[in-house]
Amino acid sequence: MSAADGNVVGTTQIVDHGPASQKWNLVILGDGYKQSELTKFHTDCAIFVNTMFGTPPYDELWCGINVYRIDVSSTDSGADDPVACGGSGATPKTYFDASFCNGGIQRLLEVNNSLVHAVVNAQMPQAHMIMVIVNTTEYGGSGGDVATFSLAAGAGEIGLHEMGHTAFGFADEYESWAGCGSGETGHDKYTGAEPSQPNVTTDTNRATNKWRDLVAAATPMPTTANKDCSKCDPQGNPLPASTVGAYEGALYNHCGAYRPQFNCRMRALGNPYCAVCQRVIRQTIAPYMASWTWGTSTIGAGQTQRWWLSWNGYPGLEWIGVQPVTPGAELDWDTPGMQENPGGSTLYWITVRNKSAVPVTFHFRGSML
Amino acid sequence: MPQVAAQPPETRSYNKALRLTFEYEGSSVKLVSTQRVDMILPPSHPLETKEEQSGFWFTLSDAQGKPVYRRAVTNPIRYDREVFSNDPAHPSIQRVPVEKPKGTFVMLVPDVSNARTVQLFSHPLEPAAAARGLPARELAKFTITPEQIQEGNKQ
Repeated sequence: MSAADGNVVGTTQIVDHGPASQKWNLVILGDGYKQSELTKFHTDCAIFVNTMFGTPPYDELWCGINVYRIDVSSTDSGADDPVACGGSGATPKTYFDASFCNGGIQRLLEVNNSLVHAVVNAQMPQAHMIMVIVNTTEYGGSGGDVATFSLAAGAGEIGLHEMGHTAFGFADEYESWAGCGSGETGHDKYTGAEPSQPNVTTDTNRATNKWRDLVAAATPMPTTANKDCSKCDPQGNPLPASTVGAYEGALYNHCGAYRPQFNCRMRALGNPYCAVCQRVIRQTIAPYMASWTWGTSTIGAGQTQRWWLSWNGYPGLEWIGVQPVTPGAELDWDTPGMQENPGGSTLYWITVRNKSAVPVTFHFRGSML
Repeated sequence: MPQVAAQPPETRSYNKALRLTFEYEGSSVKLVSTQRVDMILPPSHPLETKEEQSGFWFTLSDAQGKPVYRRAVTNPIRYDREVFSNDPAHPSIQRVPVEKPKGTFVMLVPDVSNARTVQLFSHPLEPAAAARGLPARELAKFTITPEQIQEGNKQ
């Protein structure tokens, strides 16, 4: 049950939007597929890729994403399924040694992630995200640096949740560690430092909260409060599902930590990513798009300002400009100059004029040659 | 004319990278391989934070100790694991402790010739301490030498 139990067959690009050096690269491997089952692995990859393509915001970012499939054959099919966890007792010989029942937990399906990294480093070191699909229809999966999931209905959601962690640095938005109703202690109230993750916070002040620009003026802050911090908050969402605010209960604590929307894929599988998570995904993948939002800023009423924008390539950009966030707002801009820097980067400067009587928030936009 | 003197660091994009592979056992972390690859990296997060934060991040610093790249990521050193239930009556995600934390993870940093120091910052790794949100501190520091760098695939 190791690398002796199969072979690395090769790598195939299955979503091709350009060279790996220019795109955000997802790499998918399989475990527990015999040589004769690799065609099935190809189909299973395609099913996940279609699921991902149908998941906002990946659909709108698709042109920035490549997907690579690494074919790995195993001696046997499936995954270890120990009797100790109520499994069948199967012990197939597979390349990455996929097994349920890790830590005595039936649904915890893991692979040898060191071996996965060794294969990826050799086959496709430009990977930004790595996933392993295990050839079993029993539900299971796991996270960490390598997202692993089975072929059971809904298990692909584990891959999307784990991609949120690994590729985009999202925190868990659920409010318990051992599970609501577990009687857990030590998770009543988060009292620590501001979390570094973009989708959880301790800050309910609408003037300083880190996703404040997405919070409507009419939305209360905090948006919900847990009346009994000894357990998970049982209340339903008092506001429309799309409302961004500060909902109490996140980061394994019943109180004291807040999430941006009532639900999110980082809170419970099967939900869309919340607006804050979607924005971070867009920002992360933006450099891989042919055209993208470079950054966002605000210019005061009647002001003229100049910004410097640096792109690590030469020649890098076909066009740069600005786009007001508020529909109907207008700005003038020009790009009076650019220069090539030592090392091959390009420095642009752009002058923006706001002739209106109100401040205007805008995106810097760029498109590649 | 008012000017912003420099571009925000998060707007800079790097297209040459070092793929760093680490192994860990408990809180002991080793850098086991360094590959040079042509790939675009996600933008840097702000290089400095105004306040203490919990979580996990890594920085790449230049010879003067000045950070040039920073990314906050999910802690790859796993002292607990996520478990997913598909029980239709109780679909849930919960966490369970890892008895002997051990594994491999990868970090991608820009390949900048005068920046070769990588630092990992983490809040305390034990799950109970992590849930309390204690501020992150330096967990490990590595200096990458030219001899360590292998050439990876280029496209």
